[in-house]
Amino acid sequence: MFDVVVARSTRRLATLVLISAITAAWAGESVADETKPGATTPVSYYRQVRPVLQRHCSGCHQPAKAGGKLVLTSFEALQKGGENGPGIVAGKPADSTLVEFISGDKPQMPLKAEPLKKAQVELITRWVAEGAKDDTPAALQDHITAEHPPIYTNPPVVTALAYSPDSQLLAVSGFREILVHKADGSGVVKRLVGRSQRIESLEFSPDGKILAAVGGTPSLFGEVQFWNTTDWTERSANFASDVLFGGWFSDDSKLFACGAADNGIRLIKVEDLTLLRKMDPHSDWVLGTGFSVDGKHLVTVSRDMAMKLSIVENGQFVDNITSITPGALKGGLMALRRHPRKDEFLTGGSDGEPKLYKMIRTQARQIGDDFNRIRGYAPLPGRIFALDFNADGSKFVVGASAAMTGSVRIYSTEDAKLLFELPGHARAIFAVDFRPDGAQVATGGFDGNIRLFDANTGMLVKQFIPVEITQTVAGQK
Amino acid sequence: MHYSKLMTGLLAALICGGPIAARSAEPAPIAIVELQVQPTQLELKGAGDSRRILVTGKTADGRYVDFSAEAQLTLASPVAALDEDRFVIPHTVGDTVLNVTYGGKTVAVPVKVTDSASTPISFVRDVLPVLTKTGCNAGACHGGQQGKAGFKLSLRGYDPQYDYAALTDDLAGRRFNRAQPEQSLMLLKPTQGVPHEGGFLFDEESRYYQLVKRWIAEGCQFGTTDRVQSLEVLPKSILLDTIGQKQSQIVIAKYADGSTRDVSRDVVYETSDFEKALVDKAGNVTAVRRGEASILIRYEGAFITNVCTVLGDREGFAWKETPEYNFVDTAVNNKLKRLKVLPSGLCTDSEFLRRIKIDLTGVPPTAVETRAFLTDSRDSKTKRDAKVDELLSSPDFIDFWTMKWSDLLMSNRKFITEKGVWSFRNWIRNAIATNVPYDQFVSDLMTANGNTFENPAANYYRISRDPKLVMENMTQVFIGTRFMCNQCHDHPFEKWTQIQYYELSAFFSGVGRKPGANAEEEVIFSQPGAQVVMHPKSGQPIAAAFPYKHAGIDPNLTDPREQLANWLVSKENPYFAKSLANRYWSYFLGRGIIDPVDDIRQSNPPTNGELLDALTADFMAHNFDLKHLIKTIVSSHTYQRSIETNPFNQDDNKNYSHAAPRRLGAEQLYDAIMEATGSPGTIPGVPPGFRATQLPDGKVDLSFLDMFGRPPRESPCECERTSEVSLSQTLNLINGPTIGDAIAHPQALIGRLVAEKADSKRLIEEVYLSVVCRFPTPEEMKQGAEFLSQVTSPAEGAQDLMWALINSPAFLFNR
Repeated sequence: MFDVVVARSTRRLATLVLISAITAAWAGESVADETKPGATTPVSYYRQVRPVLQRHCSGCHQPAKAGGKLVLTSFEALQKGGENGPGIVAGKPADSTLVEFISGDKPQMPLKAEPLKKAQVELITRWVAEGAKDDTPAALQDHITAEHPPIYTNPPVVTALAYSPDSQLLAVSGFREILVHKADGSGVVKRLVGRSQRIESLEFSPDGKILAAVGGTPSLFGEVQFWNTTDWTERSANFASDVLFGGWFSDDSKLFACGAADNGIRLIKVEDLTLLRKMDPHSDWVLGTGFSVDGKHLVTVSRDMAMKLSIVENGQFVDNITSITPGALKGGLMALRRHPRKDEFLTGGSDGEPKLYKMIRTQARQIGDDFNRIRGYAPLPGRIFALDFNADGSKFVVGASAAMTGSVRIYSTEDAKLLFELPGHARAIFAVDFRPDGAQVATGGFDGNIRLFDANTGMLVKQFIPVEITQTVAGQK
Repeated sequence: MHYSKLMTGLLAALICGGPIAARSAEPAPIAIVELQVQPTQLELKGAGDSRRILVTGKTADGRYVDFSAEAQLTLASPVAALDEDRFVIPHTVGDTVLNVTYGGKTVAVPVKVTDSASTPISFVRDVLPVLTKTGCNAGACHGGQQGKAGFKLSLRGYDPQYDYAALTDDLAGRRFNRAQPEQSLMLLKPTQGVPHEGGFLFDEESRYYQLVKRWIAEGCQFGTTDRVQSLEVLPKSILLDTIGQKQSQIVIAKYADGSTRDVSRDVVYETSDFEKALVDKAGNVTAVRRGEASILIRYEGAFITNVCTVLGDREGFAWKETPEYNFVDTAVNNKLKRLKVLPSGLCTDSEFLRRIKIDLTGVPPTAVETRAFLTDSRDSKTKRDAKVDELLSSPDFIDFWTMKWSDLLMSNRKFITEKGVWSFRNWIRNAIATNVPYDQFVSDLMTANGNTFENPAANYYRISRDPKLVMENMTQVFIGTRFMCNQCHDHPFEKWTQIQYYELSAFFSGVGRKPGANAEEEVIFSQPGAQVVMHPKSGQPIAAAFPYKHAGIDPNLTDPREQLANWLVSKENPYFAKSLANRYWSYFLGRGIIDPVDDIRQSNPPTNGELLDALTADFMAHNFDLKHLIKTIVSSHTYQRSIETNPFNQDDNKNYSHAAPRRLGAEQLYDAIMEATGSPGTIPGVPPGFRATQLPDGKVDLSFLDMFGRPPRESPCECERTSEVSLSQTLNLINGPTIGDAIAHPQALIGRLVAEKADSKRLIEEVYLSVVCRFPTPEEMKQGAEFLSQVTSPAEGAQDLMWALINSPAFLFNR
């Protein structure tokens, strides 16, 4: 049945040897077989090469920060290359800087990161050898320019709205463009075609000279566009690798701030559209920004649920304006507006409750307090995406979405009274704006319609689709 | 030789590493005598409809082989066509014929297209399945608790409204682009049009891309909300004769309006055992190794399993009639015959005695008991049955089963004070001693009220204090299901929903607790609304409701806990008796018919449904008599089978064709060491001779027990007790003080024998009888005598012999 009895020590040793032998065999068992890419079909730029470049290279070689003056976010830019010459020479991998920089035992690129896998390098080399063809599907190639503005078969979702300070114009987000409408909705004044697919926020500078659009193309770049309101010429620059949110001018129109999907804040000099400072007090996407009246402080809100205060001059984080008690905050904050005359900030987000906060804390923090909060307003169903004060801050309009329904309300700021529930919003509201003269408010959202309401009666004045629909497709209502 | 579970596993892994791939060569063309198709006719309704057929060939020797991938398919007219996956899709309204040809035989399948118009894409019905099939909402991706890269979906799509909002509403509609659908982020990501950590999932020409694109172009409508009601799979079970053989499947989804849909390529397939059978994304099952695997199929909250049996090489198999002592054996053997597995014979009387004694009382037989049993001249079956009766009415049986139930009910002084664990233990002891019917036992616990000293059952509500926790523990122990999985989301592998979690918890919202007169007691009482359970989303109080109803519910009960107890212990409750029968079975056979025993779900089917149903029915027919259940199990031939295997059952580990060695539990092992060595044993805090199985809870400090997997009694999971084998255990057994001190104890067996100046024959015989419960073989006697003659001290020699035997599998395992 079992072994002859042996001395204890020998037995112990034998047991140990057996155990370690088994362990070793077990470890050897799990060595996996790596699959190799098939070498017969031609390499696809769009499907095989481009994703590698996107994952490993485009962080540093993109329009916002073109390391070595090289941009790798488009085929054309890759061909053109950077300061070391053309990126690729069709059919000649040996002459292509791209191949040169990623090859070898200690490749120069990617910088400060793991080298590309051998299979990836082989793939790119083979693609160049095979003629470096761009097989991007035609539907995805971009032909839109100011001369060939977008053609719409469906109304785009309205994500941003802004009245000009003189109440004459209403800027509306489109796809790859901003549509400047007459404020009464009677027609388009100008189509401002840019590069960003999405416009997340529209702001006129307080001096009325600039229309700032903040947005970008998801997962590709984040852009700020400054449109000169006299001749509609554009200045633009990239500041991130994903879209930017919540643009805001300082009251003297000299500084501009916006939030980013990399959890950072961008502080930008208006004069030359350059980055003054990047700040990172938040732990999730920053969706709204606002300067204090004197322009010395910056307030920001984020999906991390917090409203935070920073100093403009040095970028230093000062304080959480919202409570820091664990569990006190509910859901991300998605919209922020400063009171036109004082340092009070109105915010809203996932819990649907508009809340007014004072910027500066005047007593020591105690755990559990929410001292800066001035008041809350009756919650809207769903999530608040947009809000705006009237010119003197006595009223505000707020828009929300419960995914399948939308709602817009006007509240009185001081006594928290609900003044109007604006009718007719069947779907999500993503943008609202109070006309500076106080007469009307504009709303927009999922259904692609602009609705203008009389701010003093709450009645619908006009409803229109801000783009021209030139085609319809089957199944479209 | 079975050394341990661990080593068996390792050995199996080593044996099967290489040869598999070599064996799965291309199957040679197989001659067929008949060609069959399923279904035998097709009806297509609407442009989005698509249907496949299964093609099966019958071979000359009566086997069935799937030729769905190889058969030639031809449509007689352009009323319908075949798509890239060889599904039949409609073109125009009308009738045609699909000709299926293989191996020189042709079957004509009538195809009827009753509608070819396209309907708007629905989010729930059309888009959500794509997110699930491509893995977007998997737990490791956007379905995780925190989502991924700022984008979160509900786990496997259990919350369509949430997912709809995530795609159309989050960040002002960032993820779709109605103006240019192909520029939608939700299409660019899976095609790698923009960087996507989740990688490439489908291309622009794929069915899924086109579907999602059309949905966006149509304006991202939520659309119809009816979800799938049930799934049906063809073939209804899978039998594969040879390794490498494949079988494809058809899965039909049924909707409330009576419509059906072929979702064979859209469901998610998973295999329960990839060592037995693999399944690919399209649902093709491949035989890997002889045995069984369940193919779990899920689609939009509906589940179905398809049991796959891989027969493998059964050359030379012939069933041998084996005795059937009761219905258990009939059910077990029926399955074995189907699988072509030959059961082992009976174990020896010596093996039986040790096995039954440890299983029923937690301690091995004494040398005296073994000698008496082995020399009893009655026929084996008679004396075995008599032994079972004797043990079932022994005090040791009461102690051991009190410990098992104290584990399950988490009797732990951390929750109910030291006095509490003693009184709760005594209450359980009393129930075991008087064999209280199981339904009454559970009902008494559920409805317990009063002072915990006077009614110790009320300790149940001191151990779990939150209604949700009470409910979780109640479901896991008494209906063998894991409701905790659906606290945060619908159960990922079952029909249970998140709301049901809260509704069922609400039955315990009226449990009031207040301090008693004594510091260590508490008073449990019914007080409506004592702990209100809130709805997880609305935040409003939620009303109590059962997750499933049955005929046995008494509508006249008012106290929610009485309602609950009535619902729970009813014979109509499909889980109550079944889960207990399954749990008890696992205690004796080492593996539940459903395993793990407290994870009963559709996707975890029983290995032998007939057996479990029969055990359950018999248990209920005998009014929940636990001793009867035990006796039924241990009286079976199945329980009494040998661990020795034959070529036709050596790879069986699920169908009870032979006994499986089970490592002794922590307390069993400790007590067995004391019993075998004859050492009195000293456990701190209790009188000498007090057994480990008699301890009130795990707070008694004995590190040996913790090392060998004593459950901490902090969760009701059967998995708290571990039976794994670790290096530290091995070292402790070889070198540790527990065994060493016990063997060397002056009052222990060897000390006594040496004092009596016993000769080496007696020494060896007593050591064998005490440790491994049998007489030594002549060869062992000879070797032992030789060994003892070489040592200077007979005491040390005998101790070494005993030590070696204790370190053998024959002692460490119940086998």
